[in-house]
Amino acid sequence: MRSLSWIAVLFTGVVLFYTAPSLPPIGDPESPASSHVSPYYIENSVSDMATPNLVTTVVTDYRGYDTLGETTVIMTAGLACLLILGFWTPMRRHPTETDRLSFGSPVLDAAARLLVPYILLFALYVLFHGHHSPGGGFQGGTLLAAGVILVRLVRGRDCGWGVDREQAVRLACSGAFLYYAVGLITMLMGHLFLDYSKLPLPLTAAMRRNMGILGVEIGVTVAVAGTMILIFDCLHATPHEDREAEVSAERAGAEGHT
Amino acid sequence: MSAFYEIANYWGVAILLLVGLHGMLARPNLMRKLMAMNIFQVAVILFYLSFAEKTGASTPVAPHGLLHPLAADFINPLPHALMLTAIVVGVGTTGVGLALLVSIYRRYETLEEPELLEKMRRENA
Repeated sequence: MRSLSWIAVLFTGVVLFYTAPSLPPIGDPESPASSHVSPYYIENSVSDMATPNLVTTVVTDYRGYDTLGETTVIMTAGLACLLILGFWTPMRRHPTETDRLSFGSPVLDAAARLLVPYILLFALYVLFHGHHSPGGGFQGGTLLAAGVILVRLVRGRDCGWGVDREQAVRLACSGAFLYYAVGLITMLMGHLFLDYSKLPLPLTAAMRRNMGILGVEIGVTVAVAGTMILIFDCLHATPHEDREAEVSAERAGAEGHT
Repeated sequence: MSAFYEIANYWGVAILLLVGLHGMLARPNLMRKLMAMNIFQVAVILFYLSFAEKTGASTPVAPHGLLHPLAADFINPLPHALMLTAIVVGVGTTGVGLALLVSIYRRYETLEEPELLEKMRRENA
């Protein structure tokens, strides 16, 4: 088994090192990857959708279907985590004392209190300024989730501003739905799915596309943030044995009452 | 054909890819397999970002007021866009993988493949 895997690795290595020299040199502006669709994207995206960040326009407009699929995949991954782990662990309403005391220290607490507002503010900046500078929905969503997860790590899992696992599922699904909704609005207007220039807004076509991109980015942000929180929550939920102990304690309590 | 130094990134990518592949195939620990999968993925992401590069071009954000940017002045935004989504999807797959590992560990209390197979065989017998 060991030697078999070495043979596979060696074979792949030989193939890679034999074929790599036939790739175009790095930085060649005439390389095939840079000479078919990408010049069109670079030259037309500012006039088409008034968005200077070319990566944002490619992600959300020129390749909007792609990103729609990716958002759905992310949402599905979060739900899959819940299906694999969540049903064995209860969504606890009343945190125990150990939940509060299991993490954190005064230093961590003070640092988190200082950092979290700026992380969340930066997340919103990255989202809304993503048209004009590096940033966008995926990055903003991850930052939002990072803020919430930092609070959970430091203050215990009961502390997360009401974003519990159910709420995270709702966030993930509604974010993905927002993306679909923007596409459906353009369809209801009688045009193509995700054709932002046909959104019912009193603006020029380029600005309507700009607004469509913003709506889609907000959807992606919400979906990504919800999914990240959901995955984190599922992974550090109560272990199985604790659940069994809890159930037996509840049963003992119920029998005591009857 | 490109000279050796002109595609230096690709050699690094190839090494990372092989490290990932070896980790996924040969390591008996499932957690290490998952980490190796992530290394493999980083190799693919680096590969894409390497061929987005253009000599003398800047980041793909047009300066304020520039209505018609020239293709030669900005690096290729397409691989960056693809890898942006690939990174986030990678987090999703890692999350699902970790969830599977957690549930395996809860049931069998090991992540070492030989031990795990032994326990499963005993359970089935």
